Amino acid sequence: MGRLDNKVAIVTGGASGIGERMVELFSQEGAIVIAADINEAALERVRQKENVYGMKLNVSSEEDWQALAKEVNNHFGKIDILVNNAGISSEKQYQEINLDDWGKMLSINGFGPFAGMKHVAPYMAEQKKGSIVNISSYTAQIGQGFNHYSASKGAVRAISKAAATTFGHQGVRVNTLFPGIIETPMTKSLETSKDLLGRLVQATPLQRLGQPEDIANAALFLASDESSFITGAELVIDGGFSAQ
Amino acid sequence: MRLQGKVGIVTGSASGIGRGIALAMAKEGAHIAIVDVNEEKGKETLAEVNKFTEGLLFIKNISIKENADKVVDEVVKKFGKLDILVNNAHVSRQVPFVETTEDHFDLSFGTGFYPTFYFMKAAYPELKKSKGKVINFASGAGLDGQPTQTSYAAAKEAIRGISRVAANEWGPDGINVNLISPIALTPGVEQWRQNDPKSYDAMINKIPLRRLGDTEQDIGRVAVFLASDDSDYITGQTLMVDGGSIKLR
Repeated sequence: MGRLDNKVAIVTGGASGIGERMVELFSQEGAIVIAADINEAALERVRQKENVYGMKLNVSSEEDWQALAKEVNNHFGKIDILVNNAGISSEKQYQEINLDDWGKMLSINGFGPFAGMKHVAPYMAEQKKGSIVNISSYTAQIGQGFNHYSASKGAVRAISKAAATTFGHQGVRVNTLFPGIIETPMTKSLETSKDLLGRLVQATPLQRLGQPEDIANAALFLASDESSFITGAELVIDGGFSAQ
Repeated sequence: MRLQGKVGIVTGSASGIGRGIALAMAKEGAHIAIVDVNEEKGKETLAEVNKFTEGLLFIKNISIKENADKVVDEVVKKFGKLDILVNNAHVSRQVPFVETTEDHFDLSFGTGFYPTFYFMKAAYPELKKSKGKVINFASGAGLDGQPTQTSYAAAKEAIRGISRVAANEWGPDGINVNLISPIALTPGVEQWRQNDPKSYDAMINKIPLRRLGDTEQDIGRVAVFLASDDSDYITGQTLMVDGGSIKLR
C-alpha cells in the first residue's frame, strides 16, 4: 500500500532536479503524477516513468495554469496535491540586479505559486480536500542573500500562510518547505563551490549538504494524509543550519 | 513499515497524545516503552501496542532523575538499543498570572521540563550509537502566550530552548531533535467540551481546518515522520500540528 494511493498530484518543475525526485517518489507511493515543466525535452524523459504524465507549463502564465488545472481535473476527476516547486535562481550580485531582473524573478518564483494556488485550489475545494506544498528557501528566514531570489522566496512564505488561512475552511491545506543548500548538479557546478560548500558543511549541525531526497520526503509527508492536521506550517530542511 | 525494528520511549503514553504516538509508531513496526503514572490506562495501551510489536510498561514518576536512567537502561537491556525518545508528559494548572505561585512552576517544570532534560541526558549515549531521534513537545500556550498558562508556557518555551541547543550540539552525532506543537482531541479537551460547549465551539471556529487533531491519525503520524528516515535532514525545528492556528515566526 502506498502513502499516496489514488491521489492525483501536480508537481511544477517536475522534469528535473528536486522536482523530478518528487515525481518519482510520489508515483512510487501510488499517486498519478503530472510533471508540469517548461522544458519540453526534459518532459519527454519523465513521461517514460510509470503513472507520470508530462505537461508543458509556464508558471507565470495564467492561461497555462487555467488550461492545466482544467485538463487534469477533467481527465482524472480531481486534483489532490499541488507542489509549487518550479523556480529559477541567479548568481548575480546585488550591484548588478535591476528592475527587469527583479520582475522576471518575481513573475516566476512569486506569481507562479500564486497563480497555481489561485487556479488549482478551487478544484480541491470541490472535494473539500487538498494539499498544497510550496517551496521557499532558508534565505527567506535568515539574513542571507540580498537579492531578488530571497525576495521572491519571502513572497512565497507570506502568500503560503495567507493561503492557509484563506482556504482552510474549504479543507485545503497549504504548507511551506524551506530547503537549505541542496546538492544538485547546479550547486555542484558553481565556480566557487568547492571552498564554499566545504565551509557550509562545517557550519551545518548535521555536517552534510541536503539531498533532493530530503526535500522530496518532506513534500511526500505534507502531501499525504499523514499531515492532515497541518496547515500554514513551515518546515525547515537544512540540517539545522538556520537553527543556530 | 517505516519504523521496522526501531525502539522508542514515549513518556505520558498511557492516554491522550502519548498513546496516539505509541500506537502510530507500533503500527509502523517500532517497539515502544510506555512511561506513565496511570497503571490502569498504561496496561490498556500496552495491550494495544502488543498487538503490533512488543511493548514495555514503566509506571514511574519521571520527576525523579534516576527513573530516566532506569527506564533507558531497562529498554536497552531488553531490546539492545534505543532509536526514538518522545518527551510528551506534562502536567500544569491554569490560573491567572497574578495567582501563579512557585508551586505551579514546580509542578510544570517538575513534570514537563525536567523529565525532558533528564531523559535526553540519559538517552544521549544510546541515541549517539543509533543516530536516533528526539521529539519534544511545544505548545501554543507558550508560542502565543495564552492567558492562564503562565507556568505551562514558561516550561514549554524552556523545552524549545534546550531542544535547539541539543540539535546544534548533537547534530554532528547524527541525532535529530525536533518539536511538535499540537492541538488534539484529548480526554481533557473532551471533558472541557462537555462542561463548556459554547467556548469549545468558539475555539473550533478559530482553527482554519475547523477541527481538532486526532491523537493517533494526526499527531501520531507526524511523530512517525519525525522518527523515520524521511526527516533525516530536519533538526532544531518546531512543527505546528494545529490545523493552521498558529503560523510560526
